[in-house]
Amino acid sequence: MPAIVIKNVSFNYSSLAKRPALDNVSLQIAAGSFVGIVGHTGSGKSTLVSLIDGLGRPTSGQIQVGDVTVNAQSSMTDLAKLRQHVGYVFQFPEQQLFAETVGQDIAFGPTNLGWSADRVQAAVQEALKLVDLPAAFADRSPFALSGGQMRRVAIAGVLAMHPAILILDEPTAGLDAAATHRLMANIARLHAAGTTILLITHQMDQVAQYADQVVVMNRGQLVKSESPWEIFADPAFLAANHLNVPPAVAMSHQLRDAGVSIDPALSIASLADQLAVKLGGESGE
Amino acid sequence: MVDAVTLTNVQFQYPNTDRPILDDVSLRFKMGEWTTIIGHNGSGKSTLARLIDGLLVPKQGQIMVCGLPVTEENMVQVHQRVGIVFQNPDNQFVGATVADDVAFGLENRQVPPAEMGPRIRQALTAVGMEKLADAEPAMLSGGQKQRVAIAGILALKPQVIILDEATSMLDPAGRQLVLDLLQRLRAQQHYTIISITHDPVEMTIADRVVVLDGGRIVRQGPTATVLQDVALLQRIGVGVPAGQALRQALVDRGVPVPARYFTEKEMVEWLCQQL
Repeated sequence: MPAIVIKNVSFNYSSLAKRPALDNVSLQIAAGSFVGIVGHTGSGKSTLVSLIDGLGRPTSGQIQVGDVTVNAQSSMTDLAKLRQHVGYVFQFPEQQLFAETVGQDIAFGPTNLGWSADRVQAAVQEALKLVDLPAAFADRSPFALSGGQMRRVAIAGVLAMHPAILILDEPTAGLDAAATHRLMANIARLHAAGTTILLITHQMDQVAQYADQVVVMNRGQLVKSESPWEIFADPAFLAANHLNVPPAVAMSHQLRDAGVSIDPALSIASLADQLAVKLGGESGE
Repeated sequence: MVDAVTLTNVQFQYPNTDRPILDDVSLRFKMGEWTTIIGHNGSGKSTLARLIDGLLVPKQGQIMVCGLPVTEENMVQVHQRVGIVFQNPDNQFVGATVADDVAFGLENRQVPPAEMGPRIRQALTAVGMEKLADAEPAMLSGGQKQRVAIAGILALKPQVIILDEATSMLDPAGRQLVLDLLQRLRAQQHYTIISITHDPVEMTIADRVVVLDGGRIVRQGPTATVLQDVALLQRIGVGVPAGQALRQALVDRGVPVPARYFTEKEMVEWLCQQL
């Protein structure tokens, strides 16, 4: 399983830019991690993950994914090698659906990898299962599906290539609560099966609930890489970096400030567990 | 006072579908009130918005906007009274600059050029975008684009503003800007606001909530009353506001919590009293 090691990486989109999009970023991500990448719009989150996917060359510094290392001198072929480990689900990926059927759309990536027809078909079916869609969807038009279903088809197209590292950029933007919950459960299942997840999101409740490492970006710099516990323990730090406090965290801070002795909680469930003990209910389900 | 919008026994069915998307819907929207419409994808929320603006025509039933029947002959006046902001900020921008974009709607209404300048300035000031009047759309954030879309509507002096998931594609800062703007507009009491949303925060600031399910209205009432029903919110797939989610989690763990609506703040206060 490939780990990710980023050493002193800077990136400029243009020599005319006032400041670099990434400014001397160093970061280590262990294989199998669930990393939340957060920060204000324009903080460098998407630039960081696009370099991990080999979509650009660092202006300086180096990026290592598994046994592949790239730097400012790397060729396009070297950059492409990064991609064999990485699947990247862009924002609003359903806008990129193009084929006549769901099956053909999902098969596009694996076919380009040169897999046999049988292997591609197996990958398509497996990917549909991973995103909770029935096998019969393979024959339907991707354009006759609901928004949430189209999103899942687009994600299946990336999963079919079996990436060890999955990057998701705001995967639940525009989805309703039920579709959001379902998609996050799918992602959690992939993580449990060993996939490294890099989740870019503004939804701090998702980060609090799922991530084991949180990377905070601000104006191209990595400000902090810590556990969600550490990140969400500091309301002043969150405000300084334009990050919202998840409601469960906010309520647990307010209770602690009022003198109620509870541990900081990252989810409504863990907050309720602690309170139930104090209020004479049962903890846990 | 005449209602801002009334629907009487409205039915609508899309071609090539086997059942109506809206079935026998009757609803009243009072002048100056902010109503949120919730329901899962496909429940008919957006269809309802398009019917009110006359973009779709009902198979049966009648729709009135400020006392005027929504019919082919009245379409120009209906569009003058109702403005819709859609979900995707990028799909709505037509002008080369912010001011041009607001001018577009005015030109369509053949507003005299001398009157256009002041109306554009006034609308952009109302949404806090007057300093960016000459900016190009590519320079704007999503929240700024949505505020320009709202300015384009305000310039036309509508009575009813419909927001169809208008904040769902924005980042939290952009969403907050738009919600703050809507609160300011509501305070002026000139506008009837109808927002279609999945966002728990956007729901909680409305005066009234209407729940659509299976083409029918399954619940409507004051926001605090409707949002109390966590089971209903979960069934229709909308987010449960956090105070209410904690209340439900405590009830599930055998803690007796009064059966009423709790905001986050009210929940914390209640807990502090108990502990």
